[in-house]
Amino acid sequence: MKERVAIIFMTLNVVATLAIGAALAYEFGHRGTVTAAQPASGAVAGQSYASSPSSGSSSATGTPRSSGATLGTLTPSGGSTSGAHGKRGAAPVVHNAALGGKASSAGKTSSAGKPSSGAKPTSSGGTSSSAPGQSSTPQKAVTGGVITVGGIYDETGPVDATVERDTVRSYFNLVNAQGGVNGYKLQLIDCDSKYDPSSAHQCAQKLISQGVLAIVGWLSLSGEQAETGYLTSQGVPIIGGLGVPAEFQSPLSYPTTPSLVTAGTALGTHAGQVGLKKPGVIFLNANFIQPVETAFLNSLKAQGITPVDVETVDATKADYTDIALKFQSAGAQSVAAFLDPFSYARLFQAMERQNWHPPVLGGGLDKASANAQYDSGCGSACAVFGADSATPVLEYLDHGNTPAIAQYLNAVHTYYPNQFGALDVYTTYQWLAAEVFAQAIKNIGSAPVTRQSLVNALNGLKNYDDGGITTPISYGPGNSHDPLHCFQWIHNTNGRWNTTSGWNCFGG
Amino acid sequence: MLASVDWGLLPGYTVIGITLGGVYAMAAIGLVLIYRVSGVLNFAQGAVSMFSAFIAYQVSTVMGAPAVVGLLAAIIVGGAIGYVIERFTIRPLAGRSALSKVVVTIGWLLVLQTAAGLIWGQTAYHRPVQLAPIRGFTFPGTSVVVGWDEFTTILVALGLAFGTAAVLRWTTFGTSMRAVADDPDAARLWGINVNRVMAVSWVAGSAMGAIAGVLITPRINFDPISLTIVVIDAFTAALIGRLTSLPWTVVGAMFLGLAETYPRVFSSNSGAGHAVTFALVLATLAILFRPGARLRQRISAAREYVPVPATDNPPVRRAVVAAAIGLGLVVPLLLSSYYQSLAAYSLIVGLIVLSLVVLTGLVGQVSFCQYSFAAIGAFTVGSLVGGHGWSFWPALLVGVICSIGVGVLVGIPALRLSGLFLGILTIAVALFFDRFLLAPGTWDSFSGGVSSWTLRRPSFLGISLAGAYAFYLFTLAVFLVAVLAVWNLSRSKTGRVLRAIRNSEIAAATSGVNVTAWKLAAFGVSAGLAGLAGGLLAPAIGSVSPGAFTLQQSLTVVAIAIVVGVRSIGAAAVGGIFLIFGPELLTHTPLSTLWFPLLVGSILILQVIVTPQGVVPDWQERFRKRFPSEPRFPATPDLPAAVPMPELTAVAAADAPTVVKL
Repeated sequence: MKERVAIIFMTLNVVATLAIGAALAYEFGHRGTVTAAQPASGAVAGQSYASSPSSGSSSATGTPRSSGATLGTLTPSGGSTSGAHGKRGAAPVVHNAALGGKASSAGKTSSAGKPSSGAKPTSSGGTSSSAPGQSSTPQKAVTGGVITVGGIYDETGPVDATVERDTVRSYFNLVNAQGGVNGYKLQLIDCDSKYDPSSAHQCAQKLISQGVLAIVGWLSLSGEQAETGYLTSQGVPIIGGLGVPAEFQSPLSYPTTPSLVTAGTALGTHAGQVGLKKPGVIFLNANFIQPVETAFLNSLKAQGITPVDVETVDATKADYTDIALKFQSAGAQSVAAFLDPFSYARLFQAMERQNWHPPVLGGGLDKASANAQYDSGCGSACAVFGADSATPVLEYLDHGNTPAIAQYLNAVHTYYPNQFGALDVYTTYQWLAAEVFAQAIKNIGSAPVTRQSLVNALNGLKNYDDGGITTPISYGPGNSHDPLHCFQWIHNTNGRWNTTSGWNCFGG
Repeated sequence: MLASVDWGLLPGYTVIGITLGGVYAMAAIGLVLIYRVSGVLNFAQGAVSMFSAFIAYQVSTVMGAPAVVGLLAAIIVGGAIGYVIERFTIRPLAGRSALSKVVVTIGWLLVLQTAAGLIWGQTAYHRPVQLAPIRGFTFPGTSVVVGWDEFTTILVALGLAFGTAAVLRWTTFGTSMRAVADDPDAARLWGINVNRVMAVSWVAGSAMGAIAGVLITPRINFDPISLTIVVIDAFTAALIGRLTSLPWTVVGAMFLGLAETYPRVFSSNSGAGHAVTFALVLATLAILFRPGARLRQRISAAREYVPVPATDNPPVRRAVVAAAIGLGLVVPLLLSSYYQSLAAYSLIVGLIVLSLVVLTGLVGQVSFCQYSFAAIGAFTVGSLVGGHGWSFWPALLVGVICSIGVGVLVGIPALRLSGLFLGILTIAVALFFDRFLLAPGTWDSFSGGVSSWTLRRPSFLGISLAGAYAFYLFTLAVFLVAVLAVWNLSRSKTGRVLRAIRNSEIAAATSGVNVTAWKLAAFGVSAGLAGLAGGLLAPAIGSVSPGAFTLQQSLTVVAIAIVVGVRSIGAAAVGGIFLIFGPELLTHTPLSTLWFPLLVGSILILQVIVTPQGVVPDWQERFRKRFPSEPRFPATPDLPAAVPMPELTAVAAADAPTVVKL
């Protein structure tokens, strides 16, 4: 018996070896194909390897996990990952803001800030922006009528960015179901940065070697700040992201959110408006946080607010009871924070454990699945009840009837129902990134799709209206892009997030 | 400094510490129960706790059942996993060394951890299982607020500890357990069903781990890795109880919980607690585990040694090596730059496997911290080049020297320890690096803090190594030189000395060998090789950050080294290729790279049961049979063809359970 098992085991070893050999052979063959597609001239960002766009019979993105979604408003509720929200069966609402340039009003938002309706996207084809450090990497981004883009996400570790990845894929699925963009199907290749800068760098190298056209809708908390520079040096355009400072210092980065530094200023200003007193302040320890922290603390100072304690915590911090005790001991009368959604959950649990419920102000508080951690069973005493926040996009939990938001919710619910409860402000950013990318591809028209033509199209994007999710977005051929500066205030009333203002704009 | 400390925080922090200690106590009690009865130190205890906690999560959080039902499901599944581990993977190893069984539990650790990640995701975005309300109450007579969940955890821990002690002391079955722990053969003669007793100890111990896992979810990152690593704290508590005494284990757990919590009063560095754990492991091993144990172990190891008949066929071997080098030069030429980079990584990882060949294969010393040695090389290079503008080559040299120094430092306590306890020590070293030394805020000028060190590939003798193939060729050259050096070492007088130490330290010492110096030298050489690998990894990736040097990686590389055969130098190349190209291969299948540790763990378990000498030695043995040559000395006719791995058989008496009255 033992001998037989040994023979089987050895056979498996041989099979594994053969499989490695097969992989090498596959790679060899695959490489030959790519090499054949290369033009004779040196590879630069503007070169084309595109085959003719097909009418799109192939399925370019992941298989939809659900056949449809309920029309109209969907409200994500947190907690369960089962994704059993609402009924399914009907096709999602198709709102053409992204592809056709149709503008719609921002729904029920008041107009304290800039109005966001009415503007149509214009496409001039753009003026050419010379990309620094153009890559000699072979591109196979556009083959067989499929445009391949990449995304780097923290898919394992203390942060879960799979929902951002699946949001981008939801949009691509939606577009592909309508025949694609200019006949092209859209495809996203993802790579797990594991909440680790080196892994993020390896991901960037891998995606470049795979010849992706651009990075679209990424979220790598520990990788974006460093990899923005690297991707730029390799001539790879970046659309979307978290809003780290580096993304506002690159000619090839096209953010779809305000800078986190601007967010710090906005939130500090709002702290004064809601009358925050003696706050204990917590920041997530990240390589981009220093300027954000400075902006927030300066803004607090300008409002005459002095923090009693400032703590910086890792995303891996599991128990915040010690922080809650420190704040209480320091005499804090409120809490202000820049944390990831589930760190908020742990913070609020610690506050609950200490029976301590001061006013709370924080960025990125509005995530249904995280909210469910602290709004079940604790009644009106929950820490998040009465909390305030700011958002640079329409609050999705409060604007389900706005067509652009409904389209977004329906698409995610249709294609990735398990992720529906995990949507948040950051997924909205990446949804917008996918929209902006598709609009740029559309604006390229019949010209070859290359990194250079994509950059030209993005630089030519003026007053792009995403259906009122943000204020209109414009880019240009400059050395950096910073298109959004406006926020709306939101307030939690008995577990429900309500928008309490129009657009409040800062800087820019 | 002390004047600025807020002493008012102490009562609150004491509650945190005692709660944490309660959880450690529950995990450690299960560990001690299993160890006392079966003699196996269950490295998978944390993984069983984790998997069971996710079962509770599935039942109560996802499916909506009450938390108590989730807890019951977790206990049932935890117990069942314990039974499966014992019945199908530990019992078949009866008569084999304790370390063989430990290796199997490491395989289970990888399997359970990966399976949980695949089912529930490898992030911390899971809602905790809330057995009791979070809301706190003011403890009577004080101003201290205690959460009901904290109170419940402490009560359950104490109940389990005293309940288990009572069962062992006052019930018939408990007496049977103690009898089996004392002398299984004698117990069998007295009519005790030893297998049943052992199975029950595994089921009960794993079920206790399950309870601990569920109770800790509100206080820890609820992800597959963090929960698994709780086992290290449980080990520490169990060591304080000398792996036998339940009351002292509970005291040790409470002490550990407090010792990990109080530093937060003074420091916001969350890793400070882990430094305390490391110090406690070191102190406990040094103080409580007497050198006398080593004596028995050495004698036992000497008894188990079987010499290897040398039946190499040098001409054929040379041809194979030449062909392998030729393929190594040519095949990457046919690959894309990405795969050329992977080939370079695989050689670098091969160096880490080679470092294990030196330490474990040649000298018989266990190490689960090889990636920590690699981290010394990588971060020294990263900080000197990235932070201080050094040239790469002197930085690499300094990195290797520093690695050697750290290796020697780790080797000093290893002089008193071997086998399981050395394994625990090296795990503590790995966690010390992982959770403290490289954590942001501890030593940012070395670790880079929250940022990574970035550096470019250097030039070598005027030739730029920036290109993927050029860098690959460079790493190939380094790898071949290292392999040649280790091969020469193993064949030289020094190699014979090291093997003599592996087989019997006493016999070697009697022959005039300075065992202390050679063991330290082996640790130094091994760490130097790993540091060299780390130093090369820095420019290979172009970025250095802690995520690439975790305990998880060390465990995986040990698992792979054992699978391919840690005694074989050829295993280094195979191991490196397997570790790097294995996950890549999976991307071309319906599986993802996330499956890789599960496959490695499964193969590891099978390997230890079926072909303990490893794949490469097995191939070599078959090769020798196919191409026989004149032996340089006549083989003993009675010797078995396949020689058991000395490192898996070199632990016996020291690891056997010792009965101490409760």
